[in-house]
Amino acid sequence: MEVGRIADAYLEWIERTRALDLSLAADWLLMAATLVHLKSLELLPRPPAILEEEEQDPRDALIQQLQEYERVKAAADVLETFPRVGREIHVRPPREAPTGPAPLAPGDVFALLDLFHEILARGGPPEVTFQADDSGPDFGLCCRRVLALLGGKGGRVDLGTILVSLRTPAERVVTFVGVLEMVRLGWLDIEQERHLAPVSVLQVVEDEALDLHLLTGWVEEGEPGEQMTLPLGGRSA
Amino acid sequence: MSEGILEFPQRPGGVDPELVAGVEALLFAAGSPLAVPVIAQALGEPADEVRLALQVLEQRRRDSGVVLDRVAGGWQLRTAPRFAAAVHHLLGTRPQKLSRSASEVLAIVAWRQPVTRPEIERLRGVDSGGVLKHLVDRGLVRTAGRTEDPGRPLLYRTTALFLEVFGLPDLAALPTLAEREGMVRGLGPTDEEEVPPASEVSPPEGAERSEE
Repeated sequence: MEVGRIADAYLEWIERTRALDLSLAADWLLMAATLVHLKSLELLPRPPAILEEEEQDPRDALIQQLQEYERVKAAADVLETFPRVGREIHVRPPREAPTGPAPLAPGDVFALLDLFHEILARGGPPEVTFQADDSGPDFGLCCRRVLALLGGKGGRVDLGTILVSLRTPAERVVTFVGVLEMVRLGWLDIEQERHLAPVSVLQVVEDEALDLHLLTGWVEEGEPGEQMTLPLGGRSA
Repeated sequence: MSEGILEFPQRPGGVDPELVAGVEALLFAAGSPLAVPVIAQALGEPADEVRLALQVLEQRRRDSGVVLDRVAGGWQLRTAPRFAAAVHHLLGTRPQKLSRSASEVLAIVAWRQPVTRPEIERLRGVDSGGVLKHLVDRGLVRTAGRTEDPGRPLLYRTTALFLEVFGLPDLAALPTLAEREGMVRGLGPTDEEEVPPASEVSPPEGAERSEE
């Protein structure tokens, strides 16, 4: 199975969600479904018993809801006319005296996706090194490699550099997912110095706080997880 | 416009220019809206004097690039909207936008507060949980207790930041949507704790009133 192809399709889809207003689409979908439902009620004969039960015409409810929604939209329009802080107006943020280097901006998700896309695009076709028992890159190993590069709490590495240094696209994908997983677990943080700057990975907890079993449990169910119980001392990329 | 006239707006005795300057310094340093009693306490001056000083300052700054506005129950120095593009350019920022759905949910909360999520969703006809959470994350909306209805849904209200961002002195300053009778229900700050520094309340003559 080609992971790259799946990833491409996924990214393309994400790209599309960026352009579309999904909630708007959902509104329309619901409205369309309601209208189709009403139409079907009119077209299809129904037993008189059911007709009597439904005293209120469902169309009335729909009309009333539409009217109320019109009012909401009007109110939203009114709100939009107010000059807003951050749009037309600026205020002075109170600032404390600087005490150290400026904090880095948190990375944004689209920067990550762009990077991921770029890394995938950069790699050529996967090398033909398949063996009968080759089950693909080892998730735990990929994670440990990243941790080794970080070298403990406070370590910072450029994510793009890590990914480019890997041989196969599959390893890049697995490593990328591993980084995301470790961010989710609160071990790592993703930062950018500014918008569109390179994405770096920062280790935010001590090595002792890293429970590698949390990673194994995620992928290697049923496996004894021997590979994963390696102490971090055994780090070597 | 002559400054001399503004310094002493038809008041016997006028306003101490040094007090006006002091008020301005505090407003600049704070950045956020300051209520009259807070300014008065910091300067050790009577609240009535501070109010007069604020009026002088408001008038004097009217045509400048940084104007004095009544927002969120206090007073705040804010850039004049006509320089928005230049300021954004300087700061490398873009005008912050609210999505259409966020505007709608915010409007419902603003005019109908306190309001539950089921009520919001009934009005909009679509799931609004994500949008609501986004507004809470941005600090424009907050939870305010629960109703006794089945499931005890949370109630939502707008925050002081909402007033500041939208440049409103208080909730009563939201325009009434008179012709849209449905929205008027639940309008206005009906109970306790909405307007944060609760002392300074709406209309302009409020500046003349005394604090309790």
